[in-house]
Amino acid sequence: MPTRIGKWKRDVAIIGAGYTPFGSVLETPEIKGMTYRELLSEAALEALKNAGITPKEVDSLLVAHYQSETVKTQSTHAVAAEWLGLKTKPSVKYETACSSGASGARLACSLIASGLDDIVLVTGAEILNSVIDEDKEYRRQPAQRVPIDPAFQFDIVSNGFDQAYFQPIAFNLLGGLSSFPILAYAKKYGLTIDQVDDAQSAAAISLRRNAARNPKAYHRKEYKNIAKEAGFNDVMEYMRSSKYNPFVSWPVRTSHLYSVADGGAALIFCADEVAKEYTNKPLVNVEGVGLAAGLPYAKDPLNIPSEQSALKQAYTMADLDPKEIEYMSFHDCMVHQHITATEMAGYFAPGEAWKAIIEGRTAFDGDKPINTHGGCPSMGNTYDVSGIAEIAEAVRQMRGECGARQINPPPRVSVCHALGSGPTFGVTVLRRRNG
Amino acid sequence: MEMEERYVDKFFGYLAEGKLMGQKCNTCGTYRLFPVPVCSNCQGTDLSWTELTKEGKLLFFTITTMPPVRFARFTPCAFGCIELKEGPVFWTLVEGIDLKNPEKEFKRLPLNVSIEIREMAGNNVPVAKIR
Repeated sequence: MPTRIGKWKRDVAIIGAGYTPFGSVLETPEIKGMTYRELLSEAALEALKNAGITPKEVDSLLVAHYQSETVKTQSTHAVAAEWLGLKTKPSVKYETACSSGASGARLACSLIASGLDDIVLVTGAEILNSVIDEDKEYRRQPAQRVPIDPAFQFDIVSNGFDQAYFQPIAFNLLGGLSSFPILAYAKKYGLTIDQVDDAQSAAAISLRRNAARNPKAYHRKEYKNIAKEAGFNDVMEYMRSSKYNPFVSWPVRTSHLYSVADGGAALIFCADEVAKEYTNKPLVNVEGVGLAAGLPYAKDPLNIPSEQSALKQAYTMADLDPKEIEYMSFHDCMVHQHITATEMAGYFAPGEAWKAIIEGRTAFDGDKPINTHGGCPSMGNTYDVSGIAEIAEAVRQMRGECGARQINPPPRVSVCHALGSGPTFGVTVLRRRNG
Repeated sequence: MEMEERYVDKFFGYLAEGKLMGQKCNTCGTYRLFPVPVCSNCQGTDLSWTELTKEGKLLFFTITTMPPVRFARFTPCAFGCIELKEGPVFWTLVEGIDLKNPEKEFKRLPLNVSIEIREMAGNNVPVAKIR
């Protein structure tokens, strides 16, 4: 039976968006020593301020939370409700891993479109880089955190996939999700491995250029400067170096993958018809949302049924012509998505993306900008929180609030594509209707 | 609709016996490797267990150095996307790829593989061997 694609019964806008600095609570100065609830509160309060409202106006709360292993708390919606003064209002914890921005948008808009709520706060926080040291006194506060073993961290990520049928056999989810699509792309368009390697590295360089202009990004030192310090005049020679940038899942290198981070993010959804009571800023409407999940097995890694379905749901709902898209975000824990998924989404014509990326067209000042905040490799990957932050960045770009990395003119139509554990594909179509 | 099957136990039990058992949907004819109560293609619930031939094609592969902890002792290794003769696609360990010349091997794809059952990290799992 085909997937039913409906429409909202009343329009919904995002009127507030924010995120904390990303990094490590053990060492990043801006968030050092912060707890889970403090990261969440900072993000939520920033989004509320950005919307021009207070918690009083919020009708309900949706809290995304994926990785309880490192926060050691399960019912985090209750923690969030307490910290945000919302303990008499409905709150729910949810997650679809890194696509929790799209699923949060679908849930929040549904609550508003149904008439149940006028204003919904979607927020979340994660601490992924460290774990509470249970060898010490467990309940001692503030909790003592120790760095997490990257191998253990990767093991936890693997819990996001079916432990019966997927994980025991398809143990290398990273290889499957990162390498097979880019190899399929190379094969489809007759490209060499060197060409797709360079295209992925160019995407990583572009993201770092963006991040260098975002004071909240985890990694802000541009690759051209890193390369110079390592004795390379040509940044691409540095990126091709097996010493500095080795293959971890051929033909995918370290710099082509995400950097795990801690942080918080939040969005304020509001019924379009009442939004003007709260804000004079341009309204960014959520016009389409698509979601689909299930094991990623497909003969053609560039044609995964759940990804195609999520795109179709969102585009149909929004009556979107891909030619209208002026900004795209990806949950780019693997940067090949800039090459492969941009074409699936219609942001680039088939076979064109890899070259456009090498030409620098996807940077904040290019004609096809992607992930102006720095994306998963440079902004940092906070899983579900990144999914929310990616939509927050799109909203703030569309309202011209991004400072040194602002796209000019601000985009009118954005598409946020997210790939989360499961895998879960989420697509959100945003359109600025005024201003 | 009652669920009489114990799918996971049965699937891994067959693997322990050396059998690669999947399902055929009696409504749309789709084969799948990992048994579930509802067909992903047509949402039909009339599915039968069927033994799959242990033959297929290696469509893509990577060389992995960063697996979850319990698979660390198997790396570096080739890890591939396999299409079975009956149609199901899955990912698993691949034996017989020259890890030092991945680009040369990539150009030879697709390659015929046979499926063998191996013990990996406490489970019997189907792995692919280049024929």
